[in-house]
Amino acid sequence: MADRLTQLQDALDQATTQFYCAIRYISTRHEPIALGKEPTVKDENVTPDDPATFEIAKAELAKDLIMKSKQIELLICSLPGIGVSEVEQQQKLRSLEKELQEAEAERKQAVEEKEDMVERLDTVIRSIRRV
Amino acid sequence: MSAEPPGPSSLVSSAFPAPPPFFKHFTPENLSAVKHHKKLGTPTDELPPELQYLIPPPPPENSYRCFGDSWTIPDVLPTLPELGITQLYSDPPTITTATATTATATTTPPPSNTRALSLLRLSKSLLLSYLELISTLSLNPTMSAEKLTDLRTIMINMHHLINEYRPHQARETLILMMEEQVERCRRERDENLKAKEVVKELLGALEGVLGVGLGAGGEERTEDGEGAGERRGVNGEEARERDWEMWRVLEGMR
Repeated sequence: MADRLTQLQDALDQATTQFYCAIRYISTRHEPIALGKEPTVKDENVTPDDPATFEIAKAELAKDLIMKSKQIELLICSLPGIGVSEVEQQQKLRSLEKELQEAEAERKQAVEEKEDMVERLDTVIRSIRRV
Repeated sequence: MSAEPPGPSSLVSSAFPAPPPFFKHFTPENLSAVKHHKKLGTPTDELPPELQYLIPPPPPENSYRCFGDSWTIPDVLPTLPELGITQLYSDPPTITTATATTATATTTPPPSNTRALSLLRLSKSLLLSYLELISTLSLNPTMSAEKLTDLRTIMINMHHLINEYRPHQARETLILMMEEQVERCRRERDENLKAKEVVKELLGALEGVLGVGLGAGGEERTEDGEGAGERRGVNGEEARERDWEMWRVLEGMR
């Protein structure tokens, strides 16, 4: 999964696409309306949706837009490290580095101790075999 | 770059550009001639033109072009006013054309916090602007250009803010990774210590079974002979019993 910022950027791009799609849908699928007292003109190339479908689709588009917007807000709120300044981050990094070195040293020592023990066991077993 | 030939631009910008025409100048004679000139210390402009191509141009200093984009040295994120975009998220978050103050609000306590807040506000204005665009379109489509630029500005502002946030996230990710590593190190240490304890216990048990002090590994060699000698003295029944017990211990170790 991409990181939060990329998710946010993608969501923003999707929102833009939705904006476009919504306008496009409305402008291509609406019913022709009479202008003043002139008769309604039908465009041969346009096939409007019937009013009920159109309304439902419109509501759905609006809902999707709101959802996307909410998703963007959620992503913003969950951005990592909100409320942490750069200096704090640097300090944290430094202390972590130290901690890591200590842990690494401890780990090495433990491994050595274990190997030592295993070796002793090995010699003991070998001596038993020979007996 | 001074050494660039005045060839057609397609040479530079096509996906797989042909080699620059001056590669033909790299003949052994020319190369030795250049070496000769270098020894003499001839300035580059005084060389014959075909030899000038052989001398690499100086590295770019301020900006360079790569994949059709120009890049600055050092690589910095240009501020919005530099790009000719109105910056919407300076300290007053209302939509004002405040181009004077730059993006780096280093004085305010945590920049990431204000950045997230600005993002939130921008996302709200984005939706609102869209709503305005729709109503403008429905009433007077010719007026929509203005709203469209508004939307564009807001979008660019948001993307810019997100990109500004990137280094922050990079550090945050690094912190997380390091924490994980520390955790892993500690776990490994604990597991090793546990394994050590198990082995130690086994050793103790073995020693108990054999009835001999098989203490340190170093003494093992001498004990080997002693143990064998001692064992010969024990009667067969007892030895077999002891062997069985030992094998059981070894079974359990696996």
